[in-house]
Amino acid sequence: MQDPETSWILQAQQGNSDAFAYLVEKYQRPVFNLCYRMLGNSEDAEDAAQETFLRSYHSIRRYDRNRSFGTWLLSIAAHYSIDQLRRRRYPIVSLDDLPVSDIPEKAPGIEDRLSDKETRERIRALLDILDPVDRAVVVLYYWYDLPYDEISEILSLTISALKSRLHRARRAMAAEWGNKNPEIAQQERMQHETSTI
Amino acid sequence: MKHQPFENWIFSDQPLDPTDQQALDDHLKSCESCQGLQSSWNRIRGEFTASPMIKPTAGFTKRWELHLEEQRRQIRHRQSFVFLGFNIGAVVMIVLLMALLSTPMLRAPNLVFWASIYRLLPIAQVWDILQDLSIALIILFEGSWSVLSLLWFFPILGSIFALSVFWFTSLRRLTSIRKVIE
Repeated sequence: MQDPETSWILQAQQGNSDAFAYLVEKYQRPVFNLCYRMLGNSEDAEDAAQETFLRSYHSIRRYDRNRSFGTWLLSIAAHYSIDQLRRRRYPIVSLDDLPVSDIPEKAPGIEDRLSDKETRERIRALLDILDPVDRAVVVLYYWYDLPYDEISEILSLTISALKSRLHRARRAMAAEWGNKNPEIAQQERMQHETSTI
Repeated sequence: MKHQPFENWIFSDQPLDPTDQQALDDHLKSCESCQGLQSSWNRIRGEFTASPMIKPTAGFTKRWELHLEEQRRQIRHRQSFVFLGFNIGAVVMIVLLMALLSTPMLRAPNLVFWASIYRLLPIAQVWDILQDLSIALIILFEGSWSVLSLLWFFPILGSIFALSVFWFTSLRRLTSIRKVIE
């Protein structure tokens, strides 16, 4: 018996937009998260995620059912976000940007929200220094736990190029972090030294 | 000071073997730069791992359906503009062609006028034929109506009613707003 997702895909391939809406419902979060991490603010992420689903709806007949549907969607989202970043002349910084996070079951206190926002800002600032493709590599590696071969398939890279980009991105982010937070870096170095002694 | 292969080891995903780990620890004791990179990278990795997936605001699927409808409307709009443009283009071409063909006739306009009147005569004859045909049809219909029994009247009425219902249902299905999944 077919699982519901395969059935929705088959129906969507026959032009049923209601069936595709179920797929949108299921995959909205991973697609939105990728767009958000790539573009850095929720307005652009919403537009990019919507555009990803529209493009995938129009090209679903070309989708190969031997591939994972999620990977196919992420590939469209990643390439679209990379294009958007390349077109962008000026970086957009939205300080009041607070999309819905998944953590709290209970209502978060103001401190939690501030800390959450600060963490997001720090992550955004780190990802901002990266080249669009390197940024996509980092996001797909750390937020989706995808293996190298799947990320290389999504971004049309060889595995060695992917590893090299990942290494370069990690080094650049670590250097940026050290420059931006010299006190914390110093403190941690001292802790490290004490522990080794 | 040489920082390779220590930098590679700092950013590696794979656990190091004990000899390499020892070499890295020894290097970190003396190299402030690599120490800084390692502590920064550990911190960043921690933040990445702790940061959850962000989800969109509620109603994403509904917004997508509205976008799809809007896109379809725009495509229909564009297609009708293309169709209209094609027709206008065709009409302009025909008018230009006619103007080109009728240019020699304009040298003698009175001849063109009488020729047009002459060409209208067959149309008047066609009109007479149509009138005769319509009178014949009316006579035939009135005659057949008196011949039709009451048994035929009800099936014809029923068919007309069924066709009306079918037409109305189709129209409703075509014009109704699409279902939206919450």
